[in-house]
Amino acid sequence: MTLGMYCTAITTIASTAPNVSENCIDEIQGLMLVMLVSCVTYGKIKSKQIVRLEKGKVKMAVSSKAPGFSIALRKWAYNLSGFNKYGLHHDDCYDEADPDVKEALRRLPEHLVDERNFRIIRAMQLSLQKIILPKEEWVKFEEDNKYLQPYIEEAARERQEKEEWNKKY
Amino acid sequence: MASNAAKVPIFRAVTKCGFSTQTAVKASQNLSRRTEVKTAVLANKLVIASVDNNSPISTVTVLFRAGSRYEQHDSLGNTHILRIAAGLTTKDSTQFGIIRNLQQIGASLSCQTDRETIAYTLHSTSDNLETGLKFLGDVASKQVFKPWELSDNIPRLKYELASLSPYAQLLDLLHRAAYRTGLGNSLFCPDYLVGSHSTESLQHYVKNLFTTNHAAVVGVGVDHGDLLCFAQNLALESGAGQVESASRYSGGDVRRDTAESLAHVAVAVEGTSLKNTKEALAFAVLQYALGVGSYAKWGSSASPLTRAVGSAVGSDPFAVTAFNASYTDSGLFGFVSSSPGNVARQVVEAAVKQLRSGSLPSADIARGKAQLKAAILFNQESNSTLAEDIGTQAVLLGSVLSGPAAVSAVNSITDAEVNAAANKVKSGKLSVAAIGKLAHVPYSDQLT
Repeated sequence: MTLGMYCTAITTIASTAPNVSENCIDEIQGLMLVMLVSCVTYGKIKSKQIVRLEKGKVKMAVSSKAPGFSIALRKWAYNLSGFNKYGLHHDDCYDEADPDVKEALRRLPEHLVDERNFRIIRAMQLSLQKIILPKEEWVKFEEDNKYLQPYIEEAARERQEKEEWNKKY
Repeated sequence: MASNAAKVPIFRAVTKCGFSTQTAVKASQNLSRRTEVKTAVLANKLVIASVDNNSPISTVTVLFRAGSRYEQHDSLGNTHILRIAAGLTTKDSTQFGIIRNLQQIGASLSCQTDRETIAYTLHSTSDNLETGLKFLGDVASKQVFKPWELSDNIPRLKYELASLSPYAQLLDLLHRAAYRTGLGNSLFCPDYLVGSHSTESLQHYVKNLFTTNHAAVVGVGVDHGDLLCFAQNLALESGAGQVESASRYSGGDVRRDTAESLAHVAVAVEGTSLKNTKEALAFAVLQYALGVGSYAKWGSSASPLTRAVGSAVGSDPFAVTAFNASYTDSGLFGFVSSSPGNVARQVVEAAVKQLRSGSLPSADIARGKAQLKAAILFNQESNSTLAEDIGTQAVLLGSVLSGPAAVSAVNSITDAEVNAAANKVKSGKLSVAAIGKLAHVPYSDQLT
């Protein structure tokens, strides 16, 4: 069975129960941290996992506090968000339909793409079986390197430049 | 010193202020043509040369001694990739930004590579020059080579390689036969290395070779002070950079059979280096004296080379032209011919016989001189060829001979000097390169 067929099989089953997990967390400052994980397919592997992490606001809200507290808060939010229990990294959960993310993924070095695909397939399998990884295999806050971030930022900057230009001329 | 004065911020501001007013003055006055070349060498060894000929178009070129001769075995094709990569995202501006901003001001930016140099050239109207120069500086000195942009350009690289003319390939083969490595490196990326040039290897190449003492900045239709300003602000590392290994002429055969009915053949012996100006000019005169093709449309050339080959092949079609290339420490002199494969032997043998004749009648030498002078002056007519000409001299020799000076230098070449060059050709070891239908093309050891 090829990888593609395997993914199609999983995702077809998964799409009958699209919202695998849904967490809504109210933070002290009234921040919303919503995670929606759903799996959809467009022929090839295509996991649509939306994370709305109001990162900027978290930073602003706690900037007056000691840095230790900020990290602790972010760690707490990270563990609550839940995707790490499926072995996913933060950057695995971006919406792939977003043009910036799409471009960033195109630019990502191949070995990172492979690792990412592995994590996503594993997460879909776990989600399908309604189980999570054993606790010692959960992704830790410290281990989560935001590998896609610089690429997304660059793609976004380039898109903004194009938009600015189109407004001007 | 003008160069030092412009380094002081206040003076720089003053020169900058002059930008906008100068163009107005230029337009209003109908000044006579000027061909005077101003040169300067900065403390970091960057050579600057400019001709302010009051042209409404400004041409600025940044050149580096970083052509294909500097490629090592593991970096073959780097210069081709560098040429393809000109205009890609840099540290300060994106590909989109470079393209659109230059388009908006009607400027054009190009990159040319040859065996010794890489040249980034900007053509722009003088009033928009400042905007254009920003991007020229970015493209020439702030490359980053994003991996995805490099791989996006591979189809273009393949297309270029697939559409190479037989002549481009022929001259590559000739250099390979003559020098093997260094100057023998191809101008183009070898097929088997397409897609293998990484960001790191390109960065390494650029870091080693794009240093100030490998570089020159030349301008045509640009104020010398403005050009100094631009050159000083270029983000180039100073330092020795990679030293070129001296060229060694070897000679021999390199042939490539293709499914063509024609045979293209290039034969050369070692000529002279650019450093020896007198001899280089004698070889240039010799080239024109031997004949560089027809000067009237559909007409046939009466040059010795054409006559010799014409009488040998009879009614079969052929083309032959003398070939002369001078580099910093060596040069090639010979001819390039094309003919149907079945008469290639007669063409090549007759042309070699003429090439190795050892002396020429003074009427032919006089014609050669006149044609060379005309060619030099024609080159001075257009901004782009003038910039190319000055640029090559500035970056390879560190000094520039202006058009009139070059013409008087040609005048001072005597028949004896040209015949001495012809004598050198007579005794030199042959390099033979051929492409096409090669069944009848002789090898170098079969030619005398």
